[in-house]
Amino acid sequence: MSTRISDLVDPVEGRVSARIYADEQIYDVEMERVFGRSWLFLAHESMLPKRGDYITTSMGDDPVVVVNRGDGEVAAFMNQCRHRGMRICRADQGNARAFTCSYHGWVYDLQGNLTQVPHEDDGYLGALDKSQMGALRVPRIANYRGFLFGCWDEKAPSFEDYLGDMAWYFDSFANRYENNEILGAPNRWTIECNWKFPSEQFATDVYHAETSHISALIAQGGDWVTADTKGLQFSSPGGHGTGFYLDDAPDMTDYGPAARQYRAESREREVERLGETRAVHVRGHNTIFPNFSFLIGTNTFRVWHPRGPHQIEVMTWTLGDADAPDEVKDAMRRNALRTFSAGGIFEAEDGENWAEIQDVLKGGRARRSSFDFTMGRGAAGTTEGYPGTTNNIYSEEAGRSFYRRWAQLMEEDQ
Amino acid sequence: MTTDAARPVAADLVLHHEVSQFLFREARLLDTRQFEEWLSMIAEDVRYVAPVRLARMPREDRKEFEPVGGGAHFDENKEDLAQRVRKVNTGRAWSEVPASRTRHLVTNIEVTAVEGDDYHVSSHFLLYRTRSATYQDQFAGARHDVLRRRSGGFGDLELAERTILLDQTVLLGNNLAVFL
Repeated sequence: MSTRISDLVDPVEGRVSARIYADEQIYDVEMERVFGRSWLFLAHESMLPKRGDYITTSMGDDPVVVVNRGDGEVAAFMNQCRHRGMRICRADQGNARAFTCSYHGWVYDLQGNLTQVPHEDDGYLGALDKSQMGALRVPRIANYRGFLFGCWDEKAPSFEDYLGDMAWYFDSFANRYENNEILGAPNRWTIECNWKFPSEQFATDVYHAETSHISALIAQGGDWVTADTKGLQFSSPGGHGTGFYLDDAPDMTDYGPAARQYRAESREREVERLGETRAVHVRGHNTIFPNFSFLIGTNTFRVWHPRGPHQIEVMTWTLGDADAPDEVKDAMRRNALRTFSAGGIFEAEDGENWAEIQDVLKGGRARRSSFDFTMGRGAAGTTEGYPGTTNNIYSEEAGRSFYRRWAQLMEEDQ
Repeated sequence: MTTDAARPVAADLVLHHEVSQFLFREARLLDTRQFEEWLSMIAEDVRYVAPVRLARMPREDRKEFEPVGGGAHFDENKEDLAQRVRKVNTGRAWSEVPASRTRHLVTNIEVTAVEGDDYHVSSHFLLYRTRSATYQDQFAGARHDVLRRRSGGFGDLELAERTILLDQTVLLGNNLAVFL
């Protein structure tokens, strides 16, 4: 690449070149250096309860199979036959005893080992070493409170080290209920935008809400925050970020009377598990770098899978409290869908903004512009009771950290 | 849910015509953005559901659609639908500002069962949508509706239940900020 990354991203001054969202070469490098080295969300263990249960998903733009091996472990491997590269699993989810490539019939077991090859004797003359031809395995898988993340890089830090202070904030989501349950198959849709727009927004941007989502807020009839409402943003050297209010968080949720009552009751247990601060306040928007995001309250978590520089595929799930009565789970599920999904009354406007920006970046001059990330610059500090670096909620502290981490990975040639 | 194998009942021509006209009127109201009028065609106890569809291997293909209570694009009641209309009416629902130009094409209409005042109706739809200069998306699928008679007046029906079976597993569009 003729341009240096440090010319494109300046997290100190708070400037980001528009090119990083719309350039094919930069995209190729980030698939290798960002997605090839980061921990990426694969699945929640409750999606794969039985031996042979699998889902197909992506790591970056590569298709992977995540499967319950039956020995208490989960395997993840490239959804690609080692012979000619055909997909070896062609369903979105299901249960299998083995995965058979539909091109030449190579068979892989639940760990991705190549076990059977047609004409192994008379075709390959017994010379094919099947042990070297397993599906390309994701070498590292971490199970964090049931959330499974995978990493291609054997030298990357452990998932806990990778999370750093973000673990405390992630626990406000992952450890809120005694038992988590994923409520239904994911919503999937495409948005014509670069993956960094949504990842960045969920890390750093509560700022957009009162403009972008004004129509949904009015339609729900709820009160949004006032100018006096205080909140914090957390930023991490790992590129993760969160934002949340310190006053009573505005609630975009309407779970109905039964669910409201259950949630009021369960609040006590949440305080016990998480402490008052997290149970009540740390309930905002979040990104674990690079592309795993979640919202506490509306209980959605999602992956923004890159599909080239100009498109993403979104996969979103709803997190439920496994011990809640069915009626309450159903209310939580419906609430998540009607607020944050392709048809969600909040989600729609986000995709609109990202897609419009991406469209503008078709312009040669637009691509040479730079975006402003100066909000709250120089005001970062620490806040008693909250791990890591914090700034006020209307800062772009986590945005600057997101791009600092991104640039670091892009520049490091390992 | 009415199964796809159900044969059309011997609905008389008038009933078939009445049901078709109801669906065509609904399509026209949606495409001309007369959403309040559209809401008036919806029963107070409506359930408007679009389950998520999954690509499955043949032995699991009965699980192609998520069950009731599973993953869905919509699982709404009348108040949820009214909330969407209130949202559009603010004039600041940016995913529909400027508004999409939509075309709901409704075809293959069959009355598959008559139960008292309830008519089970199966149909196909194609929703063509274009926005701004060049944006376009299309959603095709089947609808399984229950239309309920309100009175003896011709066409005085209401939509009591709608199950939308979309053809896409990964929706190829930036959002579903339109009614299907």
